[in-house]
Amino acid sequence: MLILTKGFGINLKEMHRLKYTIFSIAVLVMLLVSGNYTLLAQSMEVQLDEVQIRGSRKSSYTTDLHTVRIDTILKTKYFGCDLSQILKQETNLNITQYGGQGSLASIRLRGSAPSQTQINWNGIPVNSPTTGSIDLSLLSGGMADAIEIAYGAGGSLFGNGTFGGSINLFNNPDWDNRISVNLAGEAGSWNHYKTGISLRTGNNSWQYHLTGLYQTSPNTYRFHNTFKDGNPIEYRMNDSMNLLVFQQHIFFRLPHNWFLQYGAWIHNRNKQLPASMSSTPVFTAFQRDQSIRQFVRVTKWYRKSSVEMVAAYFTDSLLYAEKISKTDSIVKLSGIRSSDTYLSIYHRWFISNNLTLENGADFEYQTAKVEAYNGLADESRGALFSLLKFMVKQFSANLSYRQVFYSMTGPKPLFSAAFQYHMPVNGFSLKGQISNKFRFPTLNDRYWQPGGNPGLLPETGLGYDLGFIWGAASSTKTSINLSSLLFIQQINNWIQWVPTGNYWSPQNIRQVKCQGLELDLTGRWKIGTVGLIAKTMYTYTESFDMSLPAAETRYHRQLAYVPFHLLKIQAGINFHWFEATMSYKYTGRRFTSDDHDPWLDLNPYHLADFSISYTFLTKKDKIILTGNISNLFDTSYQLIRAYPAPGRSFYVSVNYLFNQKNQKR
Amino acid sequence: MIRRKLNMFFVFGAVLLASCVKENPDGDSDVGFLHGAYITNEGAFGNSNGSVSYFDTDSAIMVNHVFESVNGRPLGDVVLSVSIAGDKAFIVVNNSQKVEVVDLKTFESIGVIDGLEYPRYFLAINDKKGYLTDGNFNGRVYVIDIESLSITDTIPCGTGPEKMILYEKRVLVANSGGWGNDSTLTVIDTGTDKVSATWVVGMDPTDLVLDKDKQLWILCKGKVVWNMDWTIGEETSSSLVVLDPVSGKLKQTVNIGSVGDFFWPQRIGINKNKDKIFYLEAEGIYSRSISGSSSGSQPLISKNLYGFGIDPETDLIYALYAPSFTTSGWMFRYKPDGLRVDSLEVGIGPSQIVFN
Repeated sequence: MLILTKGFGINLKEMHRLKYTIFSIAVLVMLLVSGNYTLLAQSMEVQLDEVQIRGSRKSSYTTDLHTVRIDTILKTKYFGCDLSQILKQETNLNITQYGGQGSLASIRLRGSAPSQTQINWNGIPVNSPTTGSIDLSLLSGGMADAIEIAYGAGGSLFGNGTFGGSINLFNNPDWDNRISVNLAGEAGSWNHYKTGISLRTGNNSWQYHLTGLYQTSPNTYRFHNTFKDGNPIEYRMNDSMNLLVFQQHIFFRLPHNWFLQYGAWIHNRNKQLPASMSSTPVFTAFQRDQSIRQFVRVTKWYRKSSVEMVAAYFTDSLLYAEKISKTDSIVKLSGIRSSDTYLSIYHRWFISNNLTLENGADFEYQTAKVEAYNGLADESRGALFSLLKFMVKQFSANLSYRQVFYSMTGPKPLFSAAFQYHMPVNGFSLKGQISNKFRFPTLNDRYWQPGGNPGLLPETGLGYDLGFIWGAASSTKTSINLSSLLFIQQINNWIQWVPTGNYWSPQNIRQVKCQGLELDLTGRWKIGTVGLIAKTMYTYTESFDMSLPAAETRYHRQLAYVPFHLLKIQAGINFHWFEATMSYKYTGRRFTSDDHDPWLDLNPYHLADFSISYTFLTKKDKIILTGNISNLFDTSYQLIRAYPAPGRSFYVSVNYLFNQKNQKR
Repeated sequence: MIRRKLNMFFVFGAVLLASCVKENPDGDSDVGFLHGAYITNEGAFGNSNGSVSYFDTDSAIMVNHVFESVNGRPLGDVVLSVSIAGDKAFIVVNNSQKVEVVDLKTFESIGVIDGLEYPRYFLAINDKKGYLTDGNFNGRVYVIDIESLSITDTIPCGTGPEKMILYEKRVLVANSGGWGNDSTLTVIDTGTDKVSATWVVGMDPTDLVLDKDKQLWILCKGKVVWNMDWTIGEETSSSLVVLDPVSGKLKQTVNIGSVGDFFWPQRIGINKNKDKIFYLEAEGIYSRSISGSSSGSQPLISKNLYGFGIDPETDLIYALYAPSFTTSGWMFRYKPDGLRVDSLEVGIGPSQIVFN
């Protein structure tokens, strides 16, 4: 183990040098730009706070898209949870995972591939430069103040890889807060333990957030081994993980309407990689993921405009080692190091109360050092963009245009248009969008040896959404909301690795058409002191390979691991400080091969979860005790073929929230 | 579930139909899967979707997923090879680190040999024992008791041992180099289960056949290392090395690929009369007479194939095609002159075929 640390740990000295270089340049750029605007500084208008609170430029343009936002429950219910756990519990999204907590988790949003959904941390993409996707279990969603899912987000708004959409994690200041502390602990089945702390302090001028988490999960859960005679019950081996994460955020309101935010995220996870159910492993595989992510955002507000600059530097390292169980001797060792430097500047002009114009530029420089590249590979890309948002009482719309500059293919124009119309009918709105999208080939696609294909084209495509929202409330005690949306998304030049003689190589071989329906129905009732909530989410997704003259066996067939039907029903009750939630999820049949070989399909499954909590109050503090039963009926199922998901598991957690200013429910 | 049951019904129907048309000389129709061709479909690495297809060479009926349909469970990850020992078949499931053993009369599982590291190929020595190659770096040959399906001994050999051949109480093991390189054959005395010699042949020997003159033909695929700019940084020629299988004396070396042409053959086969050699490279299947004449620089069958075999009864060439590892593969049958006869769908990633 010591050898591994020495050989593949992040070189802090090198990282510090790079970090300071980048930030020095960024600060210099910011100072130069800000100098031109200082004379125009005026007092900040109240309406601008709204924009600021949303935390990211990109997010302010998603209001006309189909979005889902998770916020207030993150601090307590999901403290310390990774993004895959939160999305599985709170949404109806298609998440696949290789096993227990900390196993590789991916999203297939709207029938797209995992690399076709962009994940942002405070507006900055965190997708891996080498694979294009990111393991959702590596993202500390529970450390965010809000998570937003923007379905089918346009490429002109977000940039690279948004065929499925984008998922945005935000950290925001609460300027009214003076000091609050949350101590959290959780214990659960299979010797799972988690403990963390969140400290928030500051005043009207500055706010500081510090969050830390330690987790250990052996993941020795029971499962039925369907690869063995009689499907015997076995216990998962070699699936343990331990995790140490810290995040800090500093927010400053400076004189002359300057705003500054600095965020840092240090992540270290050790994870054993379990074998598939079909194996009787004599090898044990191990992976260590380490990340250091930092960004600084500076905003200057003027009377009718603002300028924002963002500089970020992310580094990730992955160590993979394989050992022979009997001898503990390492037989395979490999490592990946990558970095991503991101710079962005934009100017937002509030032309009138109804019209906003934004112009800006993004720049990204990515590097990766991988054994299979035979050295360091790097790539830079940039974009100029323009966005126009129009809003009147009953109608809002936005138009955007982005010109991407990418060394391999030349300029790529992208556009999007979205609208929302509040109809004269009570509580009824129409919304829709049209946008084109793209995704660059990853560094692996281009540089991996053998097989990397420098001639790959970017994936491109055009998508449309159209739907309605309806909401009604008979009083403050009862409300009902319904949203329904149809989507169509074409993805051309889909990149897939295929055998080409003696090695595999990525090719632009697929033309895929994704289309479907997203339906959400939520009802809330208040009867005396009892509150009730019922929520139903249904998704129908077609994701068809339409390639011609592709192999006949895959033409017009649903892509692997995309179920046609997903249904989630949640019912909750609260009474004084007591709360209980029951949820049910149905996932339809999933194909695992292009030609839908029935022997390889994954069966549909039904899952139920139950949670109950009670909040104790003291004069200033709050203690929340929560009990969870995950997979209540001990369903045997697989999210990835041959990798069993955990059976019934019990968790108990306690959150001690010191100095809570708001003691109301 | 209903759909799966229907599939099983059709599979059993096909097996029954195949069984009906084959009777042994004694009139016993209960030969099950004893006679025919067995195709191993590797599946996609890490996806545990490998399988075995059974092809009845008399009736030309293909039965896919034969193990699953009989035993009600999947085989595992990277189903690499099938070897026959009497009425048993040893199915090597490489990335599941096991060998599944089935009764060929029914294809029912009769046991599993597990706890292996990197199993490759099994070879029956007699009706009591067999050898199994194992290892991607330092290799070994396990001695397997065919009755108890247990490992009784371990014989160290070269790097990445692959195919074996039995000749006059000795087994010759091709040390392919695995994830590295090697250039030797290990010779094992089957009486003592000890290494009796190690012969240097050519770079990375991977497959071998015996011709009608009892000469051993060894396919040495050669070594290739790529540079960043797609030029080849290091390469050795690929060759057919011909040896006397008793003395190990070199008879001849036939270069079939030269430095710079990126010719990297993977498999070798021989025809019914054992006077014509076939070998597979990315461009297709090439042939040459053991006396020297070849199909030239153009392959006999031009297609990017993943495996092949030659029916020892009919001389038909069975070519295995894997269009991708996310969809089913195909088996194409060709006459000895390269004319296609028919094609049948098999499992994902078909790579090896064995006849019995």
